[in-house]
Amino acid sequence: MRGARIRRWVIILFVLIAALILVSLMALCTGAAGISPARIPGIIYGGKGTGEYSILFDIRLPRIILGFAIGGALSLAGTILQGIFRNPLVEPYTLGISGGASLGVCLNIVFNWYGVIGVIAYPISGFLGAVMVILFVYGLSMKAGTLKTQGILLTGVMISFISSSLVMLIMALSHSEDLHGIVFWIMGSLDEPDMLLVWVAVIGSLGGLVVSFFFCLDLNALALGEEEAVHLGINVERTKRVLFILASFLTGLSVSVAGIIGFVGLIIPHLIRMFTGTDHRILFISAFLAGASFLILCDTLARTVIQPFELPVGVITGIIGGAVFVYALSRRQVSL
Amino acid sequence: MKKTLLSVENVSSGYGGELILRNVDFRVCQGELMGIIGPNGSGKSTLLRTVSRILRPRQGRIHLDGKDIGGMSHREFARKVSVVSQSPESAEMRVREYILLGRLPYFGKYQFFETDHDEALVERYMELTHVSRFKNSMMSEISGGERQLASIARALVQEPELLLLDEPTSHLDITHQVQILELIRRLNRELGLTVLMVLHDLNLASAYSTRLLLMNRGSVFKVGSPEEVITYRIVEDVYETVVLVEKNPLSGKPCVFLATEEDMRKGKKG
Amino acid sequence: MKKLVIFFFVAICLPASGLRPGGPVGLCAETPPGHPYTGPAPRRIISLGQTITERIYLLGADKNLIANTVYCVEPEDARHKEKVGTLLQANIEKIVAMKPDLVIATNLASPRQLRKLRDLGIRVVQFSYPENFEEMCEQFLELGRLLGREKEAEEIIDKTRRDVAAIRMKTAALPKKRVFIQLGVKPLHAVTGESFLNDYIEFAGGINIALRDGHGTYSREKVLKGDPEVIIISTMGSSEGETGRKEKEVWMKYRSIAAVRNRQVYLVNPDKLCSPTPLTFVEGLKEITGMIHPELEIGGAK
Repeated sequence: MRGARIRRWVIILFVLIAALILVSLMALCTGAAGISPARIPGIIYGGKGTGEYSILFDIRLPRIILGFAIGGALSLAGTILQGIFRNPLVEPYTLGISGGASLGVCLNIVFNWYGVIGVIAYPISGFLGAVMVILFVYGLSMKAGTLKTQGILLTGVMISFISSSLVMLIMALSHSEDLHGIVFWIMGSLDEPDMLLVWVAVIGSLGGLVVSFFFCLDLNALALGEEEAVHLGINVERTKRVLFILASFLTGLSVSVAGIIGFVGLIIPHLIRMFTGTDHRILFISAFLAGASFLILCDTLARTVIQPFELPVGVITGIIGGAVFVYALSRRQVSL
Repeated sequence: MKKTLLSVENVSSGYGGELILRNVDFRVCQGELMGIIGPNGSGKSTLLRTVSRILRPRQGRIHLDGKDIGGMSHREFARKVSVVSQSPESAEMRVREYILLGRLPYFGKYQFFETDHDEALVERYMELTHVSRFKNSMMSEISGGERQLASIARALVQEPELLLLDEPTSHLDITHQVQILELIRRLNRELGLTVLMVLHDLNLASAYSTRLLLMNRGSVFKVGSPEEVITYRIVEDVYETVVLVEKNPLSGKPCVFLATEEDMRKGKKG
Repeated sequence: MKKLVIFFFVAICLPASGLRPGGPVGLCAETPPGHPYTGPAPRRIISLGQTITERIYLLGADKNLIANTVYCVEPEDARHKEKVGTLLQANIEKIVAMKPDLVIATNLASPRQLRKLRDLGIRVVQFSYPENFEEMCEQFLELGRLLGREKEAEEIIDKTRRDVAAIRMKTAALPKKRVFIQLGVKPLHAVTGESFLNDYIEFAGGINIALRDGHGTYSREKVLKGDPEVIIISTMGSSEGETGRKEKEVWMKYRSIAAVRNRQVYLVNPDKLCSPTPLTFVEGLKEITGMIHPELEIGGAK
């Protein structure tokens, strides 16, 4: 039994890793510059200095790496949250985390913090905004030492409404210059020039994956309900707290580096669960890999479908993800 | 005198500001099969939830094997006490995987996969509880009775010293009621498992329990053998209903008959 | 969240070309004022803005323009240049592949993208949106220096300044009229004192009723209270179409406004008005002057 299951999991992982490599290679080979794939080995062999080498490794590769980190982080955060809340409609954005991050970035733009401390102000303010919301939601939902998951969900939704209203307020009161700064950031893009931030995102999301793995069995038990999990010897409060903070960290990281990219955290965990089942031991890593591939694929499409336009990657994730999701749901007749 | 396994000392407990249990005090001995009975709202489930550490007692202490349960880690407690709840969740997982979760309290900190020993235990208890025939079905697709059996198998896999059950036979037909209670009795007799279970049905409680605990308004009304607890005086007092208590001709255990208003009018005339 | 994004788009499209610019002070972001660039004239230029493209053509440097944005449609020849994106989002990869030696952007370009280009060793110059006529002239001269066409730039600016001065001479003597220029419909957006377009009103001999109203979201009530003698509607993108005409009809219902009684409610093409080159500024000014003071005989007024 165990042997058969592990064999199945290895196959799933193998397929997902192969898909990730394939998608990444595809992303490396496609783009507006029209470099034919056949010439790529030659360009790589030729080494640094040429414009084409620069396009491959200074423009395309960083986007692929960031797509890997952000896609993985968002998808993992979604998996964790859906596991804690036992609610398939929860995603990183439902908890108000992204709303808080947007608010942080808007404030940064309006009060010109980026003028003081440089571009790094964007991710920092986004992350601080996310943290503020997390603390707020968390504080409101803590009652007598236990975290009320239903309460958290409602509070989160409300907070996200409040923060989007505040963002609109800021926009209504701000000048066009600030406005379009906000829009750029909100649209979401993997176009991050600062390689340090890219690597921070990679390390952060992979670190999140490692930490989450220590809680996969706890989440399996939580699928039976919180009381059942207690009966199985799970420290439910600690698990919820750690995982909630972890998911918030992953979301805050993604939102503050890449802006708002929706749907990945909602759709990918779902689709993957259809193949792997609900066992978080395989679900976490599969969702991470699939989210990474999905976002890299979407970004490649975003920068190639309507040339020379570059679409916001969130548009593509929404359209493709939503369509695939509806199709899969109708096929499986899964009730939400 | 048998050794005391569970001692509940002067425990008060409840939700929010409201106290539901007041000064509950009783003992369960090793090898006993104790049934908790009482009217709706008398605090049966609250008592079970307090003993199973879902609720923290406001006052008093609960000892298991002489050790305060409040001081145990979650895992330590789960290795000693397992709980079968009223209606187990219909999670999206296979029956076998579900039962395997019962081995979680025994997993090491960096252990992610079950050992051969775990697998063997799961197979053994699935046989014992007659779960094997549907072990590959999804938990959401089996019947309520089957789910209850699976839940008991999961609890047994935890290899507990004390098994707590909260109305394991509610929502089940008599075939399944008897099947499950017979199983519990066998576990009690053959494995020496100590059982504390809430039962709604007085006759089932009387038939299967070695001792009964009658709750009323959050306090213990009476503890004793079925013959001592189920008398028409006590039952009428606590349940505020007119009943007839006779001996079951087969077992000799007390058996409660309801008296409807019409029956009583006829009875008076006759 | 999606609604929010849509709102953002709408919000930016309306006032994008009419509002006060923020951003760094100075004419262009790369070279501080007073230290003009003195290398060889660039030969492969990419323009990331319609106004910039127009100015390059005006300077006669269009042979060196290798690509521009999809919005660059004036003059006709600019349509046929290679396209590398929009005003807001450019395709970095395509830009790099074209190996430009100078990229000129507006302050609406994505800061991340410009940073990436600079990191890749491409020279990027950014012009902010001019705050007034004088700054526009300075920017034009700066662009001329940048492209090695300083003399042409000076000639054009001299002529522009002379033309503008001539119009101001004529209007200075006339009584000032209260003017309201409307840029957007929903929300109602006014040209205020912070806007570049305010110069049109002042040079044409008018007083802007929204002069001191900070940024431009405005209310009808305030317009009624300001009682303008001239209303000019210049809704983005659709002045020729329905929106502008409908907006005019709306105003025509308010008989208490002097402009309505005098039948001085006009529609103007915003493209010309909002993104001016020295040439179009003079044309626009003539048109506006003709609207505010129809009694003057100025070419361009109808």
